[in-house]
Amino acid sequence: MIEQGHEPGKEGPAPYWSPYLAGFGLGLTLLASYWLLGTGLGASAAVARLAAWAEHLILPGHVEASAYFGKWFAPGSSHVLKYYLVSMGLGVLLGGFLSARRANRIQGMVERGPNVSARTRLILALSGGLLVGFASRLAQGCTSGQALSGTALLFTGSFVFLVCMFIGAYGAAFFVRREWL
Amino acid sequence: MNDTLYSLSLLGTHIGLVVAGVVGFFFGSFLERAGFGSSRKLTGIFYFRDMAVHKVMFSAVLTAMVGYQYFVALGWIDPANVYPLETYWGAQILGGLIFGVGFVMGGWCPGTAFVGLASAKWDALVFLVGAGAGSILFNEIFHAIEPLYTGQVGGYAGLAYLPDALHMSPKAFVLMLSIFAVLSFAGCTRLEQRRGEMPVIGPVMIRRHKWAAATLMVLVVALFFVRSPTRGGEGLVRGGSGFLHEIAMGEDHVDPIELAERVMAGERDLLLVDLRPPSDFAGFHLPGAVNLPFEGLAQNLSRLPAEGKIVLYSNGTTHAAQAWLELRHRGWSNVWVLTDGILGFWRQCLTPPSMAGPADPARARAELSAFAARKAYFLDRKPMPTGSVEEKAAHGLTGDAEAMVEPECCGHLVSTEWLAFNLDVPTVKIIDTREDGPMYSTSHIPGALYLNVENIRTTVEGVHSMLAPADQLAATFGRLGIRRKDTVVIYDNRLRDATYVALALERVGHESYAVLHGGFKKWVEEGRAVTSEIPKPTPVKYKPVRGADRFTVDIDMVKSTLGDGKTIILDTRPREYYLGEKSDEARAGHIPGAVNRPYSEDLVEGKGLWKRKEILVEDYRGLGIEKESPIIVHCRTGHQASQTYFLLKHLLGMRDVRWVAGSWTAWAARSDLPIEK
Repeated sequence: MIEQGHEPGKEGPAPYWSPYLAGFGLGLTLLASYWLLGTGLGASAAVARLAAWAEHLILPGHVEASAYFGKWFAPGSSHVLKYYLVSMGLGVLLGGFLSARRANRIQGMVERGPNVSARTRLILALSGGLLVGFASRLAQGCTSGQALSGTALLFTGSFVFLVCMFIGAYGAAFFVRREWL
Repeated sequence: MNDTLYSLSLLGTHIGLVVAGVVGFFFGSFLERAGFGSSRKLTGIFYFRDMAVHKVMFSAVLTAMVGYQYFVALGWIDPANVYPLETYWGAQILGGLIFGVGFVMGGWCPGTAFVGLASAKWDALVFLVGAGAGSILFNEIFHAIEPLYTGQVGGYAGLAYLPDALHMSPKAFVLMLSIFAVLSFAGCTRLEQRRGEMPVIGPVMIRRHKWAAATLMVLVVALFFVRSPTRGGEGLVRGGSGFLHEIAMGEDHVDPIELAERVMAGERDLLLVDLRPPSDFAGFHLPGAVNLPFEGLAQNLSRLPAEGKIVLYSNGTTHAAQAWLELRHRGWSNVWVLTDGILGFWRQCLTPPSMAGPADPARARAELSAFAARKAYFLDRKPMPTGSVEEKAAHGLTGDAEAMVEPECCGHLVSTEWLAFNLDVPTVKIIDTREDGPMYSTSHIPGALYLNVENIRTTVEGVHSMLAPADQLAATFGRLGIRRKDTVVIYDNRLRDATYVALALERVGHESYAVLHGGFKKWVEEGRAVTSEIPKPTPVKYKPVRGADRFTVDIDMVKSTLGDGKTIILDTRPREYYLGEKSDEARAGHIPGAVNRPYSEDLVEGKGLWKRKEILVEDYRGLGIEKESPIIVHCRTGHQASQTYFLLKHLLGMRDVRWVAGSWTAWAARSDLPIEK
């Protein structure tokens, strides 16, 4: 069940913010990003760059010759991880960590519904991650880059992505209900 | 208008990394505060138990959306400085669907998984490993997905905005979305109360947020009343009712028929100024007219002479009258406006008189002959000579008796002078296609976009170096910010690169394009402006015209013409390749019956200029090629042949010229096709 945990002798987690207040803060962050950076928020690019970097450690020649990752390793380009969205990803980790610590919400666990084993949950997390990682590359963005940042600027493709994302999720929700309910 | 780190190309520098990191810090903090470090909370929306995702996302989108509209309206953000997300229908539909399935299965999306990891949720770590593997999978099978990714399959709409598609203004769209959001928030809360198992934490009731909702609505409605301080205002006309009276009385107008007669009589001190966009000008203009588009007129006024008569014309009279006022204000007293503009001229001078139908036969005959004279003068003479503000004599010849004469008109070859004159016109786009990319970085014609020939080539059905398909070319031109109605001027240093790009434009059905006579070399020799500043085009959607490419033939069609006794196959490769003494291909030699005319022989050696037309016409006649001959040109890959094709079709006016896709590379690879040596 819900393991927003009490630990003996420790205070419980702080309540979440009002979703509207959190959304307002998120929106201002996005606006500042457009104003200063000229780009929206992004998260999946950092994952892809990390993956490319890791693959490159093992198979440098193969990655350099590959059609999609290859351009990040082209001669003259900066290091694959020296990229503003990787830096943003690190910022998210740090911001998330400090916020979670202050709110007393850091607790090691495999979060899942009551009717599923941790093993099944992790297999589903891995497979879901695989689909999300692939789809983010295909659509050139994820919930952050397309659904949030792109729709704020009224781009048609971002709305298309957002709507299709919900269609896909609601369509599959029934089949994985035991994972969550 | 502030620049952004993106527009300054500073995203990859230390400052870019630091700012992005700080933005990420706040991003992560707010996600965590919203409760998005929990996958169960995130997935609650898919079972209608916890609608936090909807509320947070929608609040964030609205905040940024409304804020962005204000920033743009107030001139604090220039949309041109913001990285645009283009629309790829198939990729984003399929990507969205797969993403959604992955989201509900995995319980995270990439951004929230970072927060989950920071909160020590191990499923988030595993999810991120999966997402990394998914990225690698994408890379590994990219060749198979590429058509979908680039929109060749599934569709590509370029930079598309949803309000446009809905025929709404962005402000109306934001208003509609805001109303929908507030209603949906109320609905979500009700859903959560009815179905939710999760404790509803924090204030959620709509009445507790009525002030927030009201503020949002006021801000959105007020958006309609915000006027940008930087837009509008400065027009050409600044008062002058006395002049307006003069114009209304028609005292400074010239009648189309009268103008036609003066032009035909060759009146020397008459300067015609065409105020229309270059694309209109290229379509039709009065002989000798100078194109000075109304938009850029204020900057070019100094080029107009104080002596002689200046006649201004636009399509109607509005622009011409405004330009007339401006010129009068600045002290020109020798300016006239063409009554009813070019449309009036067309109606009165170039419409057959039979349509008007005068009764008297003698008068009818006289009118008909006057019309025939005008038609012969204004319509049937091609190319139409164009005047220049400076004396025409100053640039009569290139100084090289052997070389082609300076182009007179803006057909498919334009002079450096024409380009210099139209440099600031927004609808004139310049492409630098010099083979040596780094030269572009150090020096190019102001505003020129770089396009290497290799960028428009691809491998098609196993044949390398083929001119890319129309959709792909269109996407490339769209990315360069080229619109269908733009006039594209291409330059290089050796002609065949420029003609190859011209071929690409012809394939997508682009109407107005030209090669720069003399190329970059002549431009520099004449001491004209160059820059190292790289322009930042705003990508647009470029839709190719279906079936525009009527000049490409494949090798099977070439084969079918062999021995038909009519079609001339023109091999433009160097002689030793034609003779089979040299070869880079599977087989050496040439197509049986092909005539050899190396592309280099059309040029003045070392000049990047074509030879004089008379010489070329004579040379081709010597090869048995006349105006009506069916000709098929080819070389090794189609690159050199593009130069011959351009010359024959667009400069020498041959009527039936076609070009072979794949050329010798494709022919030589097919062992069933005959070869001659």
